Amino acid sequence: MRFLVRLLSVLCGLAVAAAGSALLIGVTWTWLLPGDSSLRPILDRLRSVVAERAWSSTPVLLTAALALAVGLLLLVVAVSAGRKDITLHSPAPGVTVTTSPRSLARLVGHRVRAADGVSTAVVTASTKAVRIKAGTRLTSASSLQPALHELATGTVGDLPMDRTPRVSVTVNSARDNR
Amino acid sequence: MSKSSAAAAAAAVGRSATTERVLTGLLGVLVMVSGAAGLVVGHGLLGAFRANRPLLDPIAVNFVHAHLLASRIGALAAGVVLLILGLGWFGKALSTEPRPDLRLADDLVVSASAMTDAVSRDAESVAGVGRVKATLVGDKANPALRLTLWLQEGTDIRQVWAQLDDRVLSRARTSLEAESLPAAIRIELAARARQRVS
Repeated sequence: MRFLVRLLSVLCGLAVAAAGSALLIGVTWTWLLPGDSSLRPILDRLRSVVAERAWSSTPVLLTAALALAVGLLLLVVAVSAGRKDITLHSPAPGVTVTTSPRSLARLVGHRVRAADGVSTAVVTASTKAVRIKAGTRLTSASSLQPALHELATGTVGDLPMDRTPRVSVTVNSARDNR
Repeated sequence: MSKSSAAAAAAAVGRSATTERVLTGLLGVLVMVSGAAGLVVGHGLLGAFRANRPLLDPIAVNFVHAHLLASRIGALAAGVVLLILGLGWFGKALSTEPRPDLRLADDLVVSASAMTDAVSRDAESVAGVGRVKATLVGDKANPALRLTLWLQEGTDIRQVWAQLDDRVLSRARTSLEAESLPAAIRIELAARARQRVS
């Protein structure tokens, strides 16, 4: 999302600058050269579009709906482009230490997959919570779940984190489904 | 110093996207509100008369013709503002992050790459650290260090912590004779060791 907001900034910046220069060119041209006809076709076409369409016509309504959607999208991208880093303890004043949620998920994933009986594991992590979905073939879910929960809580607890995220584990056992 | 150094360290975590986010958000709100206004007018919520008027309303056209000079000056001013805003926004989004050199004395400047090479070497000697990327960020007056460490699987993080300040950061500070060098350290956990083709 941070990359997207930068990309959109490049495009929007260009669009705004283009709109500004079009306005400048159009106004100065018609002001300084009132009799000049080189811009006339463009202006006439523009006028014929906006002078004849009523507010209630379908193209205008569609354009307005599109603008509503695009604006909402820009707003959502801008709001969700914040940092999602996990803060760790600072070893000294004037030093901040962070790690990425992806990196925490990778660490927990390594440990969980190395545990006995786990055949697959999907881990998602954020500053608030670590969620683990594990799959097993040989063991029952009820026996594996507490062990995995303890393992994951220990792994997360070993990290010097300011706020320890909540750990939740769900186990799907092929043996139970049989 | 301590307050600004903490703020500088927090700012060094990553490149700031605040300007881009605020401008994109504002443009989003503007586009959204104009779209909503168009829908409200077009659906006749402000009266059927208004809904059936053309977009380029003769009433508005007459108004502009009555105040031609003011409208032209206003339009030109708006054009200049949009052009400057748009180019500034575009430039900010495309610009690279500055990498300031360190000025130790009036005639002694350490280049950013020399500084980061030295810090990288120190950090690579810490047990469990696989790969290091060091950059100097911030501006000339308040430089800060951004250090990304890829830790190998099974590394005891607390041990890395202890060595990080003793061996890496304090050495950087003493060699620069600086009381404090704000630093942001990004840790990548359980990183896979780099595969080298030999």
